[in-house]
Amino acid sequence: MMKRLLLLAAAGTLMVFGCSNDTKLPAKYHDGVLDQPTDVTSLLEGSDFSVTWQMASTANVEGYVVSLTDTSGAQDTRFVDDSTATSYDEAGLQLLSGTFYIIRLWAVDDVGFFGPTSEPDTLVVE
Amino acid sequence: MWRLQRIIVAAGLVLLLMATGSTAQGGGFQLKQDQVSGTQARLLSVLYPGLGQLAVGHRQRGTAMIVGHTAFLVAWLSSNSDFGTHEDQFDLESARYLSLREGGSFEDATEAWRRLSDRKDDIDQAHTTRVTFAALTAILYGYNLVDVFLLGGVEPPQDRRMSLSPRKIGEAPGLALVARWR
Repeated sequence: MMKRLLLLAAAGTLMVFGCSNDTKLPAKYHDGVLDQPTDVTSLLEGSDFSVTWQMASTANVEGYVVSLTDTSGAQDTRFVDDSTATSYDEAGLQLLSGTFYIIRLWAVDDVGFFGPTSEPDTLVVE
Repeated sequence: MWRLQRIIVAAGLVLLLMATGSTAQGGGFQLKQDQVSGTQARLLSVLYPGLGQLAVGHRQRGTAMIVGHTAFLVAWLSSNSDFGTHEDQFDLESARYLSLREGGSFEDATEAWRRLSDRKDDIDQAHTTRVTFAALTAILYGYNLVDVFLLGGVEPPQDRRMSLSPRKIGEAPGLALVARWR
């Protein structure tokens, strides 16, 4: 009798603990894989555009994306294929006069993951 | 999952009818006075908690066990189904987060991670709920076994305070409600 009861109790215990929760969060890859560019400063002299920035660490960096967004929201990007670069220059850039642009920058790794976007810098075109 | 629940509830009702021993004949109900042996009652209670107790006449205890066990069982199956839904959503969010590793951005990955963490919280909560109801189901079933095997839960009631008894009322058959008190 007791053996039968123990068997049934064991079956009940299995029923409770048999439904386990095996779900686990995947490895968090996005934090710390790429640093955020800081001190972004842009300059326009005539049609010569330049932007500089700083990186605390260039680990995993393959290059940088420089983004120019005008007041209508249209975005134009440039890729800097140099992990150690801290500046980008472009001569003869045609920008709309009488408006301003938001300049942002982010690092890119070897699989095309975009790191955190820098604080924006404003470029006024007179 | 709902089909399984309906089958379980239907099976429970069939067993309940079998246990109460009531049959409809000629448009009316006729009480059957067949005695259920202790072994049969125990077997019924092993099949479904409360059936054996009900069969020997412990109506309140039997009904309480049947209702309680059915409620816990349905809640357990329902929470289990809920857990499965959350698990599917978690897998979907997990795949979305991992897909952003190549070609995604830090901001999108941060947002995907936040949603994934929320799904994880949901899944943990659903798991706690289903384990709670599974435990309650198992505890009630275990108590039912202890009741029928050790506490004499399938012994016929010794002192019924109220019962129905067949009586002749004039020439016509009838039923009398008999109340006893000490």
